[in-house]
Amino acid sequence: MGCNLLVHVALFAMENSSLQVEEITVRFGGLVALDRVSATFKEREVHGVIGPNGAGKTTLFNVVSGFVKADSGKLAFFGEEVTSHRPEKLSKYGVARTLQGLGLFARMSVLENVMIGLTSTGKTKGFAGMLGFGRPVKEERIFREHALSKLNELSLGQYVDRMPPSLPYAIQKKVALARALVLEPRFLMLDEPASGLSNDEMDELGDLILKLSEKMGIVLVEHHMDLVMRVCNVITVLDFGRVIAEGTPDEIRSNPQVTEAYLGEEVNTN
Amino acid sequence: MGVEEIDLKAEETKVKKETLIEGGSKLSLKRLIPVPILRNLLLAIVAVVIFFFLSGHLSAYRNYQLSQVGPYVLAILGLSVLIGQNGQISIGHGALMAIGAWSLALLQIHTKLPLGVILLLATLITTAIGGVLGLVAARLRGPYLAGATLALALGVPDIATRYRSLFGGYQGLQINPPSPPAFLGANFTPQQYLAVIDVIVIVIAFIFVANLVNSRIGRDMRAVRDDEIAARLAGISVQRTQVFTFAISSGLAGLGGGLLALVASNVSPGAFSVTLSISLLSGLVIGGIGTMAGALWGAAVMVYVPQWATTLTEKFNMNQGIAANIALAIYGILLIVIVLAAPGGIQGILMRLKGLISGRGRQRATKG
Repeated sequence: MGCNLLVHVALFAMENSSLQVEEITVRFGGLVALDRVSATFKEREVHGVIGPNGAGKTTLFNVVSGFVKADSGKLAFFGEEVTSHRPEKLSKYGVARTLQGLGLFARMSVLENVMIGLTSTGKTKGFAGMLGFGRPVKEERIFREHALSKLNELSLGQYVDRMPPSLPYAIQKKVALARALVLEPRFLMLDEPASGLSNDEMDELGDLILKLSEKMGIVLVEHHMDLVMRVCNVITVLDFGRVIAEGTPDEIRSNPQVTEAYLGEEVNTN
Repeated sequence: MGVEEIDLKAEETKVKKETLIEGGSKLSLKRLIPVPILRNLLLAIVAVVIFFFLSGHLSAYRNYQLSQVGPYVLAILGLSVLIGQNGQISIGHGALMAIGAWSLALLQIHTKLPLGVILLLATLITTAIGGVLGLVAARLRGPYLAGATLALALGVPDIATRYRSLFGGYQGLQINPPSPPAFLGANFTPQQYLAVIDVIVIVIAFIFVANLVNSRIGRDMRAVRDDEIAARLAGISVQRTQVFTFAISSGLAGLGGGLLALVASNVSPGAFSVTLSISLLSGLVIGGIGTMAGALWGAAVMVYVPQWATTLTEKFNMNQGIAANIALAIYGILLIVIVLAAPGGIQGILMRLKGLISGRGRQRATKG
């Protein structure tokens, strides 16, 4: 463990293509949600974050995406220290995140949902939006084309005019993914992407994650161990807000501490 | 039986596809004129010209009635942008109309600016005040926002009675009704002129709002309405969007207030009671939340229902007690029926009828 920490400190100084959390501590009242957690998420790598319920996985996500302020510790994106972080800034860094509860806009079409993913690149300012010519119109056309091509890429082309609540859950999840991907982010943070999916859909998701990891870094919070073991290059294990292990799927599988804390029995991927 | 059923289903999907393709390749105005402002301007000019000639055939009284609708159209349109697009609520839009109305009155009394400029200034003043109020509104949600805006509706008219020398007290301020320019001819009544001004102003406001709703900004507003957390992750500043929407919505109400001052030739606190604010809200619901045309129906109901109710009581010689309250009763019943039977309001009913007429296949294809 101590050795791991040293590696992190060394990386923190030189790495400029990764997301780094460094000794992050978060307290909610008397409860320590994260206790000096460090991790380095690298580009073109699938990094799993696992742990029992309440281990602090989502809190870690919330710190990285700016919803929760760390009481101490550092956050660095691409070698640059992030001091005052807010969720609104996340897309500017080229980081996209999906939400556990999908967070789709229920009364907007699938196309509009995905177009929102591009909105941070828009240059139309408030009152200019009232003029029906020039940049706002051109911008709108470009957004539409980008969103449509991303939807087609994920074979969602037939649903563009539909409202999310009228679609099957698996399709809704894919729409949420399309919204996160439309900006071509450098990092994608997936918060329990497999929950509510059937086995076949989960296999498809695994294929998709592997394909995406050729282009971007992926941080994955997930409960389904078979998916995690299949797609991840590196896994960080949290328990009671602490990192108890980090390593390749094989290392994690054979780590007795993980087995005890996380599963209470031997990790079995079959 | 089973085979037939399958065949029918296959036939149905075929029909669906055909209607979809047909719908896509149909010659539409949108394809003919791809730039929205040109398309909207064309429609606007057509609308104004048609109304210009129509209004010539109406009596002065009918024109006056029509011109009364205009102010409410704008205020309800403002509410529609606020509630329908952005999910904020306001029970204070009557107060914002009052701000627009007094702005117009004071500008007309103290300056010699042309009417168009005065209306524009009244709109901008209310937009600016709305922006400041929006800063407060963006920090409040649901019932708290409703309460704060209600306080606005209660407080603003009282300012007029407190600062009597400037705002005219209970009697308010008198306004010279605009007189039609000479080139329109001697037969052109002031009432007709007011109705035409109304229509021009409404058409311009509709164009701006339509552009806004169809732009990135409009989409951001809806994203904030549907899910604030997801909107923030997409890089949208929730607060800025809400403040902006509140300002735009206020501006529309202010413009409506300015028109109301012109139509009534008077601005007094009594015209901007809490009842007005609440009527605007119910007008929005009756007309149809979130649709622009809904503002037209809602405003028409606000103006015509009380007048029809009065005619009704006179016809049946009802006693005073009933006569005084029947308009409110009809309004209330209408509101309950709409909320229960047609949540989309009058516009929702019309769209459903249109869907029935233009073929069930397409409706099903889009609704799934």
